[in-house]
Amino acid sequence: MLRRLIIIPISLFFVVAFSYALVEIMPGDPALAIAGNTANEREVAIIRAELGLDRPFDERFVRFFTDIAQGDLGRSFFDGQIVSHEITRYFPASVEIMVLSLLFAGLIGLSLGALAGYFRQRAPDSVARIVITALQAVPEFLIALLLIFFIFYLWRWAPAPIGRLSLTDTYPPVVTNFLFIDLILAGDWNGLRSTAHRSVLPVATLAIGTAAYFAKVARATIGAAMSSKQVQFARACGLSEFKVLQYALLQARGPIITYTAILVAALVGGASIIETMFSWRGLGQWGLQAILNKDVPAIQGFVIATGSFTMIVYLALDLVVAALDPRIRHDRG
Amino acid sequence: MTAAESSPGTLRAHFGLWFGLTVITAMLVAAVFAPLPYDPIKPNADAVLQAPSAAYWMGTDSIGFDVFSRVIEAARRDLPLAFGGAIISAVIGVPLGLATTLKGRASEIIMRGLDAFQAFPLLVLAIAIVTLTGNRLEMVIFAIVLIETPRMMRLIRSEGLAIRESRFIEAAEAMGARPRRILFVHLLPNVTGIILAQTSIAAANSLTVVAALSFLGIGVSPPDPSWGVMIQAGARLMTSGQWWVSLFPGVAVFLAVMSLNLIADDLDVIFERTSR
Amino acid sequence: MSLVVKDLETRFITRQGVVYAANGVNFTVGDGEIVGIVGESGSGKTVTINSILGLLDPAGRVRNGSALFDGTDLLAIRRRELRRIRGARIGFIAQNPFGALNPMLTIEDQFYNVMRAHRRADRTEVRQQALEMLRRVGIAGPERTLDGYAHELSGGMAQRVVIAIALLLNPPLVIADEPTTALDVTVQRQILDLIKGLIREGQRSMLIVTHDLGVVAQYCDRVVVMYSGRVVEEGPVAKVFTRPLHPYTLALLRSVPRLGTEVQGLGGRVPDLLSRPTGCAFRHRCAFAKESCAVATPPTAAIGPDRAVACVLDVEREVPALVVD
Repeated sequence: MLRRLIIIPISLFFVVAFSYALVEIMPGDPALAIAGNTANEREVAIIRAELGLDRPFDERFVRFFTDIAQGDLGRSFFDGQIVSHEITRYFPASVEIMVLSLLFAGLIGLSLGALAGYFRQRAPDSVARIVITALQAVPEFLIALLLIFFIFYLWRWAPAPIGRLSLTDTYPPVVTNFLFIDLILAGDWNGLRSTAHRSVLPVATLAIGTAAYFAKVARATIGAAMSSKQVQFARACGLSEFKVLQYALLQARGPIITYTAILVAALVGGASIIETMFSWRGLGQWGLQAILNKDVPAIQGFVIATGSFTMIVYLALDLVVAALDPRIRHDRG
Repeated sequence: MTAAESSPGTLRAHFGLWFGLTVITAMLVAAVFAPLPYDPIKPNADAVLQAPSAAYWMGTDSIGFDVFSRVIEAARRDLPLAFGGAIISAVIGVPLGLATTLKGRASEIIMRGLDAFQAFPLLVLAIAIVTLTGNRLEMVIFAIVLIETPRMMRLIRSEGLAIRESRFIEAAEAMGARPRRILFVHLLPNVTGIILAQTSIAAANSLTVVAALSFLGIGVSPPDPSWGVMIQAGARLMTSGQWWVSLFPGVAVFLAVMSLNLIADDLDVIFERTSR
Repeated sequence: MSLVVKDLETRFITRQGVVYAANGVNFTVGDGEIVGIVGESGSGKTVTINSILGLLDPAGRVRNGSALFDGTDLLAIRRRELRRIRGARIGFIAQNPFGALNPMLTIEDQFYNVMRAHRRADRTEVRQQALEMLRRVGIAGPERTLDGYAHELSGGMAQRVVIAIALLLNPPLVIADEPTTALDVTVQRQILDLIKGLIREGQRSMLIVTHDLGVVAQYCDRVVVMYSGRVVEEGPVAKVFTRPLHPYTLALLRSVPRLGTEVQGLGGRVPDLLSRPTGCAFRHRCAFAKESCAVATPPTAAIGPDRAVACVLDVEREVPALVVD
């Protein structure tokens, strides 16, 4: 357990170093590349100074780290906003879409996977395998387009994919930056309904894409658990099939939770594209825009924020697994 | 259970492998040899947003490009990028992975570092690298290698360690074979199947990354087609019902990715058995 | 109590082809008897008991035969009825206790689940009975054991817990699958003595699968010798071990002179179960094989009141008596 905790600062160091390296890999003069062809000498010089390119490498590197340690991620080249403020502003929306997607993906994926694992090598398993294989091969942005075509264009079940609220809705006063929570705090039930309705397509997109992976890992782990000696003994003792499945789930639980951490990392990337497609205005969309703008401080902030976020999720899920497994739990104490 | 009575090695036993190989081969052949009915980079202003028909098999887009011609043309661009990235990852990752199976603290530390790397949103990484290194889609190979090499290393390491435990490596060690000889003469042949499978998966992942990047317009130079660019061209049209512009390139990505995954799945099954 | 297995045929459907795992298995377990099934790995011993208990992998199929347990055919009844018999009327002792016990649940929960699968009972009641069972299997601190988890126990202790669970509902028949092979040699004997004591004391019957002839010699009343998915010889241990009638039994006994050693050192290799057996499966390794052995599977013939053998030889005359060197 202690070893896991030691990994964290090391990993964080790598994340920060990596975000720094992003500037270094830019070919030619980064300042020139960022400022663009139309910039004059003075503008380029300002950017160069911002990046610290006028100082020696080691000094730059150390300063970069001390700034970040103090929570100073600099200002955006593009619109002059303070990067750390922007991150806290956009992060909650990303958390909302990711939590909702994970919830539904888990529900759908784990049920499908459990079904396949329980009936392994029989008809439900074959069907599930085909569904999983097919779903895994569809890029998420294509899922989004297909959902838009069917659910919005053809059947009109969902509103147009433009933003989290319609033009006629008013945004609630910002309290937490979590739109759902702010709407509830403001008591704006119409707004809540509106945003829930508008969440259907983006959440469904990410949920479907992620569900395939949940199903895959659940199928494999539960399938293996079903042919384990443990399940055999449970059956030999006359336990009901419901209990037997429960035993198999207990056995598969750890690996599935661990795998969820990997899915979260993938989800952060996928969410950038989906947020952009649906104008979700979360951290993913903001970060993607920063990358396209070559807005170096914002990119670095984005990389550090997402990197640390997934790192924390890894650790948290690791702790959950350890807490749930008596074998690890006892080792520690 | 009818498949059951069949003997091993039949078409049915490895349906995924044969299906995948057929589709991928067909795509490569089409990419290299297929004559294109229309110029893929010259739009026809008189044929805008035509639905699929005998003249335009997959319809035309809002500029007047023939979707079919561009789907094929895009394969010439996307498939080599994906395969190239995957193969380079294997070439780099396999020896490194084998090396980490040697005992020692260094390999342990390297693997820990790679574990941390896995925690990263890799698609974001690829986007950042391509954008910052001059915005050319070819740079995606660099990103792919960065993403897929550690995966290859991890797999080779775990497989290699498992095989090391087995008797014949122990015997070779006991007889005084040198470490490098053990790696390449004894371990490598036993992980070939796994390498092929993982390379296939890497190619599938790469194809998705290439599609995602070009979908976002990163690293593309119009009017050159790429499946992702084409899907993007039809994205807005999905809200107005012209489904064919996005769907056909989307199906191309889907088929290619699924085929590569199916090949990998069956290779895993086949080789796991013989290596045991 | 009686268990009569007749003509049991089980096949596995794998990617490599069909595995003929049990090809017409016949034997009986009488009231109060301890019967050992012995054979090399791959002989179909474990498949046989898994077929009887309905515990086969999804790839496994019982194609033919019956297993009459007090007149009820275990192979024909519905899964729900079979479930009610398992655990309650047939106890099962697994090979590896750490594989069998659930690592995520306390030992008490596992007793509780087994009890609740068959009867209404509240926790305190189950706890009392579990404590009683744990004492009977010789666990010193039963309270602590109940509150703990499997990984906190030693191998011998864990197997005692498994035995306690198997006997919790007082089943008239116990099936044990190599109950000591996963354990330290030092505790094997203790566990076997314990099992035998509990079986005799409760006037139960037992079917024990093993590849250890020493175990059979010391703990069983009758022995069933299996080879390549078929019973080649059956009879009282005393008689079979002093005067084996099948060449395979003879070879087995010759290869294992002492208690506690595994079956080994037989010439030739175990037959390939992937092909449908024709003729006697043992003929390639048999010192007495004739041409007729390849033609037809030898029928099982009764020898005297309590023995049977499947061999075309005139066993009394042609198979030599066992000479222990």
